[in-house]
Amino acid sequence: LSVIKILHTSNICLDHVLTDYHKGVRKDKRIELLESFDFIVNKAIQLEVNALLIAGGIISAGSVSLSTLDRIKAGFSRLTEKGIHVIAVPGCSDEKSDISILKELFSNKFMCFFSDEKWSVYQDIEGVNIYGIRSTFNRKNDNCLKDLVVGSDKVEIGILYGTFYQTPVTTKISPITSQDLIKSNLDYLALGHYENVVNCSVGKNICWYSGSPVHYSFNTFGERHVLLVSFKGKDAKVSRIKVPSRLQRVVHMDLNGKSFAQISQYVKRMTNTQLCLRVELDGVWNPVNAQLAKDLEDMLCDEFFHFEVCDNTLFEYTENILNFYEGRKSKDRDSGKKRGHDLSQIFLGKVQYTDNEQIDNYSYCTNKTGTDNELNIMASKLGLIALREVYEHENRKVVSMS
Amino acid sequence: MKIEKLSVCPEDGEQFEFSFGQGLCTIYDQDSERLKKLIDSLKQVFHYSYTDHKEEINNDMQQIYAVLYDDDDNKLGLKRRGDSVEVELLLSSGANEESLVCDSNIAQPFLKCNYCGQIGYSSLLFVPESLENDCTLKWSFFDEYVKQEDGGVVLSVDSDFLISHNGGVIKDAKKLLEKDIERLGPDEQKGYLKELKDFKNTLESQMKMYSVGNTYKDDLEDKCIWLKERITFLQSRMNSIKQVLNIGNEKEKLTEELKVMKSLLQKDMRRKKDAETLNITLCEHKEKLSSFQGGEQAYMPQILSEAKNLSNALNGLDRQLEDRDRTHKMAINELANMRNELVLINNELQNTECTMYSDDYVMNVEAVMANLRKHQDQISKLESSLVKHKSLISKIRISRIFTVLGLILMACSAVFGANEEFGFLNRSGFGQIFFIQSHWMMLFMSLSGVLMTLFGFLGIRKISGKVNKFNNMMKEKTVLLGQLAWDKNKLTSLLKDKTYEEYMEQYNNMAILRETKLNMEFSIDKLEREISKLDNELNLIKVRIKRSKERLYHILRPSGSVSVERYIQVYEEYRRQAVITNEISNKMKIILEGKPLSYLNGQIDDMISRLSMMEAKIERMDKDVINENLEDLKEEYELKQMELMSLKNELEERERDLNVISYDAEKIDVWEIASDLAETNIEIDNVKKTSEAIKIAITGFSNMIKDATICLGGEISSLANDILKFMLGEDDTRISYRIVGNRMEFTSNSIKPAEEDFFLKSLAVYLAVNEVTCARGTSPILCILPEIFLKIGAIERSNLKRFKTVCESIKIKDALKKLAKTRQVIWIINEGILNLIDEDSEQKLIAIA
Repeated sequence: LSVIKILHTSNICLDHVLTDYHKGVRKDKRIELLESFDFIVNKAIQLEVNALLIAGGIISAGSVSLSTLDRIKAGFSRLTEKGIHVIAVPGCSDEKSDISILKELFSNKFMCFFSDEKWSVYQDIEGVNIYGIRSTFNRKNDNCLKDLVVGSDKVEIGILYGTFYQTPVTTKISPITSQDLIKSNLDYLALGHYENVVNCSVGKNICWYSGSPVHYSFNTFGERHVLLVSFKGKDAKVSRIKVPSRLQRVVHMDLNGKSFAQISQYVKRMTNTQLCLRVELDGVWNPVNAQLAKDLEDMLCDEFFHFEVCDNTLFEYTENILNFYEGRKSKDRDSGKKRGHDLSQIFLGKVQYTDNEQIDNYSYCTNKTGTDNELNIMASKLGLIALREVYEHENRKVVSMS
Repeated sequence: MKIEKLSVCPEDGEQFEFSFGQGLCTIYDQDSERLKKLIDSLKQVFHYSYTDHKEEINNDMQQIYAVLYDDDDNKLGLKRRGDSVEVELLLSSGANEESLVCDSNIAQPFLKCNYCGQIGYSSLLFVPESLENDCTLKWSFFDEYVKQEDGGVVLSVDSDFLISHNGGVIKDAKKLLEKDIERLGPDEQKGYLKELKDFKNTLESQMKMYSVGNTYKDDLEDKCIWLKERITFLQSRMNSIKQVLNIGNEKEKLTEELKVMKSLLQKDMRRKKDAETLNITLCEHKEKLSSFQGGEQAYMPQILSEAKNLSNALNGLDRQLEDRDRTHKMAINELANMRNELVLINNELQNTECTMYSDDYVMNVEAVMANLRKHQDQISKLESSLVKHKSLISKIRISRIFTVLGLILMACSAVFGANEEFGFLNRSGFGQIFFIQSHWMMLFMSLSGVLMTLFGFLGIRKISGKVNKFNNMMKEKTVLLGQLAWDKNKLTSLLKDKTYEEYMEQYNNMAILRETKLNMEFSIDKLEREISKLDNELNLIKVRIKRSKERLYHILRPSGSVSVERYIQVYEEYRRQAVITNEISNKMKIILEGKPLSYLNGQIDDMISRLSMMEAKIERMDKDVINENLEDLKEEYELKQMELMSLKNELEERERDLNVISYDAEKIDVWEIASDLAETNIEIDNVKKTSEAIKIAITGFSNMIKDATICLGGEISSLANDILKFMLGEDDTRISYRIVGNRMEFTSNSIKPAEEDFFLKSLAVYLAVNEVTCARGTSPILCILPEIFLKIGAIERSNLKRFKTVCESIKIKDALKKLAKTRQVIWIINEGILNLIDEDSEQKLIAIA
């Protein structure tokens, strides 16, 4: 039996807007994306695979430039010249107003782009049937795999851009269940959409997310891969091939009980000018640490290729003091610090119980949702920062006069 | 706290001073101007400014010095001069009551308000403001935050002022957030949000341009394709129409052509007829011409010209021949003469010719003769020299003689000298004489001998060289004489019997003859060459004559003429006939247009056949083309042509646009724009979110301020009620509050309170506000009641009584007395209200400067 080799990838998203990264490094990242694409092409030629499957996400259609399209064409031409078939389905990033760009890219011999919203089959590879569907546009909420049931002596491969059951993605596209996979009777289902490698196989039905071969956002973790799927008869064997990529890390830090010096010291230990690092600050928020994220970024931005700090700290309300009168009566007015604390508590109470509909015409959140809560937390933080600034200013004034 | 003394020091006036005690104090002054000055000074001392308030003080040049005591009976001194001078405090130093000047910082605990931060120790100072009909007497307060308003409002207080002393932090924090909102842009019309929106719009327009550019490019491409197709269609249709129109045009053209050809045919027919007539005449003349012997070739103008030339040349050649012949003969005669003469010379030369007169021989003779002459010359020269030297021989002989004689004489003298020495035996007289004489003789002889020897020796020496030369010359002469003899012998042998002169004369004659011979030979030779040349010329002329005659014969022979003259006559006849023939021929040529008659016939036949063909074609076209449709087709063609032009222009324009757009699209890197746009959108969302959060925070702070204001209103009204209760001792009067806009108004429960009650309530609320805000404790109360403050005109004179009632009110007095137990109360009144001087006052006028 001859071995059929398929190279499976997805979510390359060439010319992605890369807004997760600072403007200064985006051009470099863009070049890295293109280099990864070239690597995949070279690898496919080197491994002499029968086909390259791209399960959606070839380009970012909204931002792809002509030069990039030319480079993709050149890459595909190199593959087809070597007799390697290039087969793809559209992903969300490939969709704009239409998918004419991709149709044009796949207009040559040995190329197939599944642009129908019904399952189609590509049979130009001897002994292999490759099924594909456009699952993004009108059918993004449909269970597309349910419509596919195959059964022949040939190797049956499906290619689908969708969300396998329980995959941690924010936007679900064409949901896929294990039952659908078993029922489809596919020998291998090449999935795209999720950015990291996941084996979703059920029994003898092999199904993988190849993940993105590049870091184009901070949703990707660890090393980047493409999948080499080898078929001996109808048995598929999947192996990962590492794609060279820049180091990228996301670090979570609990602020509680830590000083700025401790935190900065911890981050400094990771200093690497080639590393993309995102530090996510957790714990309970404190007005004292209001500028922490910014200070850290200012201090360490030159030490990394990309460095950013995200403030994900939580906020705790104290609900015991809700009005000024009670606060005023119960506290000692002469103690400025104490008085400030009282005011903070009163303010938090007020924000907690502020109905956003009270806020006149500029309010664009009408329902009390998680966004409202998030807004309230942000409002509380900003208000307390303002109070702190006023107190600090007042104290400074007193100090300077005395 | 109390005021002990007030000293007013006007810049241009007299200083005056007031002293006060505890309790209720009343100041009365008749001089309202002075009182005015006092009040203005008091303003400077006791007034503390409300935040950011700048009060204009008229008499800022005057000084006021006040002595105050604080609540702990510490003496404070206070001096101010206008707003520009810092507060100076004089603190009591104890027993000796000397004052120390302190700066304002030390005085801050006493003077600075903890909340509003203003410096200036205050008492509660107020004066009546106005008294209008049916209105309660209003009071003007030097604290700006309090004032009285209409509608029974006892006192209204600025809410912001209250908040600044009770929750000012909240207000400041709110302001900070409002600034943030302002910076971010509350409504996308300004601030950072607007900048972002503008940037976003720019990027979107760029994207749109790119997108529109692509769409437009596609549209353009489609349009270009359509235009090309439409142009092709139009061109095809126009070609079809053109074919039909061409047939119509061709028919018209053919009809016209047919007419033309018919007229041409008629013309040709006429030409043919004329040509035929002329042809007959031409034939006749040609026959005549052919009758001339030799034909046209014999009567060519060149031949005539040549014949004439040859005839003329023959005449000339004959003359030349005669001349040459004559010259030739003369030359032959001359040659013969010269040859005879030469024979004579040769004979003469041969007679005298011998070897003696050869040139070599003559050269030898001349050489020997030259030697001979040379030797003769040398000998003669030597002889003349020898003659000169002959005298030398005698001279040398004389010299030799002198030498010998001299020697002899010297020898003789020596002999004479020796005789005397050795004694002559006989010294005879002679001897003696001789002896005596010999002595002189000896001397004489010796001297002569010496001289002669010397002379001779010198002469010998001098001449001996010349003698040698003489000898040599003699020898040379001898040699030369020998050579001369030899030369003479040789010459004699050469000349034999002749003398040299004879020989040379003979030789010269011979030379002349030889030269003559040579000249003659040269002349003969020259003459011979000339004769030869003449022979040649004669021959040449003869040949030319012969050839000319032959040529003449040759050219005249075809015409049969025997002479040139005859030829000329025939020629002229022939030429006349030829001209006539030629003219006829030319006429024919003109008629036939250079073509032969057969051609004209063929042309006519061809035209007839073409005419028949054209007629047939026109008949066929009549069937194909309907004349009525042609106009419509023409119109359609023109319309189509216009459309085609327009479409071509449009296509050109579109293709140009397409090129420009393609070029622009290549230049734009859409990724950069899209990336910036995405980032801008995220930033806008963040800013909006932040703005929203800030607005929530501001709402929270606003609610807090509202709560605080309500709380303060209750507190102040409660405190005012307590004060009133203390002053009046009754419990039925209630002061309540309400919030109107930015002010808190305190009102009485009485519908229209009496003016005295109104005053007391105002005072109570004033004290309560003071307590809640700046908390000055027992601040003194200054109530200034001069009528000058009242806006009372002459008409409202009766209202003055109402003011006096207030001033004289017992209720007020009682209340103030009670109040004076807690703090110092100072009344300042003027002459206008005389009756106000109360005997019950604890103190009357204390001091008037």
